[in-house]
Amino acid sequence: METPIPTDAELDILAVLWRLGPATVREVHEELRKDNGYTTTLKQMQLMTEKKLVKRSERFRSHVYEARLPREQTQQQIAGDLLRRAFGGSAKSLVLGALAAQPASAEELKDIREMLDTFARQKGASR
Amino acid sequence: MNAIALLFSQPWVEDLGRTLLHFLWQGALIAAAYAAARRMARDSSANVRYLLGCAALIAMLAAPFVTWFVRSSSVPAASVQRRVYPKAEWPVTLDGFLVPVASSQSQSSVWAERFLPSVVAIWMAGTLVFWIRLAGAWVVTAQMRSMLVRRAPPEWQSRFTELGACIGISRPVRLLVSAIVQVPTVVGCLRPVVLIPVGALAGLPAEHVEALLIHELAHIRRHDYLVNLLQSIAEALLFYHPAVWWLSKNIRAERELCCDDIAVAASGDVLTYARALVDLEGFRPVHVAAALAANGGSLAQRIGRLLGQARPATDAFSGAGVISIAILLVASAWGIFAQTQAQPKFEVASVKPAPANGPTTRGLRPLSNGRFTATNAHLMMLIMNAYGVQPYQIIGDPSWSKSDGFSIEAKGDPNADRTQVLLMLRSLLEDRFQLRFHRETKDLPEYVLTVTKGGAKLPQSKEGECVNADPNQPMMPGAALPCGMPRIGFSGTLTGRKLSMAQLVQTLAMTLNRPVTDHTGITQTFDVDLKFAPDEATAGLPRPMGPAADASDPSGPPSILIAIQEQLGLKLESTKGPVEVMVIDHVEKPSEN
Repeated sequence: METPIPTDAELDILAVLWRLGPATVREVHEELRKDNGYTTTLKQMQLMTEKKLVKRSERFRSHVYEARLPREQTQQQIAGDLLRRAFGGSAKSLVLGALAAQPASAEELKDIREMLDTFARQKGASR
Repeated sequence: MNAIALLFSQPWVEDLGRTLLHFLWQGALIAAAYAAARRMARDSSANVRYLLGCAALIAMLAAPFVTWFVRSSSVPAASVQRRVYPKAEWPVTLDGFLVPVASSQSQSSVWAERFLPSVVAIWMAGTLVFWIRLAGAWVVTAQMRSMLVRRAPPEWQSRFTELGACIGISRPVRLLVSAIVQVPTVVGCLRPVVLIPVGALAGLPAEHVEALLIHELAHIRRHDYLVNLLQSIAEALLFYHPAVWWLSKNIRAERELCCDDIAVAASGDVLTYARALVDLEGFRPVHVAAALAANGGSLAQRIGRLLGQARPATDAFSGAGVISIAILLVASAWGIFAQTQAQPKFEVASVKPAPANGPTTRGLRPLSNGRFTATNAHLMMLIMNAYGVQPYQIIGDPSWSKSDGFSIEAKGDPNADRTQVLLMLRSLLEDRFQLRFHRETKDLPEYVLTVTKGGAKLPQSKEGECVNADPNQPMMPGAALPCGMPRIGFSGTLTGRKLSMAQLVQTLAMTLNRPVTDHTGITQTFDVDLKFAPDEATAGLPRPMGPAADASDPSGPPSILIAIQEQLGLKLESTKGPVEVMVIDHVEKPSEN
């Protein structure tokens, strides 16, 4: 597979993504602390996406960028991955998350949204 | 393997096994009580039901400890103290009469000894697995706070602190953006942090984010993490009881509802919070399996409840189901205990005073086919053999305990072995002789056996010098020397081949009529040919019939204490120590039958 060689500026962005993990453009921009504006960073990262240096996914209606080139993983990260794979399930019972362990299906979500809309209409709320 | 066998023969193993089994019915009862209470409180707030659940959890955790303390204080070492006289399984022969010494059996049957260690072993294996899971989970959650996290933007951090103050949290809590979590999560109990997934702060409407953050802050204010930890501990220790898991699930469900209520109250608008939950759920990666699963939609229930709809049945276990399972578990536990507590009895037994013109030799024989006979046996002999105690451990015996002899013919279950026949003898003593006693610990004179400075003179056994004899068959005087069976001669001899130190100590204890503790540390078998002169030290020996060897005669054998030192290289030191004794509260001569 042909590995694109990042420019200096792109390396800086990659370094931030390696350090932070997946991040939004705003977060990367704040970490860079460069003088150029937010839109410059945004354009650069969009270019990097086309060059396949980073991967973009949509989470919570915002774009989240991930580095595609892996840095050599540190021992700690590998150990962390292994542990998470082994004990991730039981870790879920130790932490308090906002949602139950079982995700709802698309069907159920549709039903719930309808339920909420009905409620809103009845209450005359503007949402 | 030997170490494991040793570990599981300890006395506490039996107690632990019983405690674990007792929890079967205790847990079921507590769960049933909680189910009933929860049903009564179904119109109260979620917090009330949550607190009921926590109370039930604490009761479940406390129950085994209460059981343990109640048991250990009411029955003072039901099994005879092993420290003082080691378990003797081989009969000791005394020329003149046979006194097979019972192995010290506790009040429960042999069945308990076989079953309980495996119960404990299984429990230990299971609880170990769960503790390892817990430890691994702990490490992972610690990592979640430090790996792939970054501080939230300062404007969010200050808004977060404001929200915290709003619901009454005084300590500042850190808000971190995490690449690992999928939903807002609280981690840590001493210094908790709230992790929020990447992109959520930017991607969700601000008031939704605030509503979700309040939910998490509510968890922190209520110290839910601590209760959750307690639940995990209970699940690890009591993993084998389904009621524990059921209760835990209930507590977690109610907890979320409590925090929902707080979030709605703080933000003032049910709809905002409900939409926030739905938004959050929509952004979770949906696994294929979950999409097909008919989970019953706990989110739907949660939202429905917020909107004021009727509360549906929360889980598969209705109250009736729980109660029926409880009855089942109680019945099974009772069945287990009915078996362990019953002491076997003879089916037929005849007890008569020994005839005046009958044989004067005293003897008793528990046989391996469930039969028991005694000829001119006195009460002390019967008690000694039935309960595996030495004469000095029996206090409060009546005047006739060593003089009046009895003839006993008794028959029990033909499958019973020697040990069970002796247990049947206990039942006979308690029925026919109305024997009542209690156990106490007294300071009595005792001996400690050590090795002299010159070293032990215990020759190794040679092959072929003794024969293996069946311990269930009575020993005939004059037969070939059996292996591992010490033999006492009234005139002052102690012989044995391939003896273990435990057997020697047992014989010395009988001879000296005092407890003897083994501090020699000798583990291999040896031969003994001891010659001594009976004197007041050998209080356990019956008075010899003919002229006794005189200990003061310089040409004759020495007294036993010196003989042991000179001939065996061992030393007996006289001390006083706590000894478990049987205090006879009541006993009477049996009526004619």
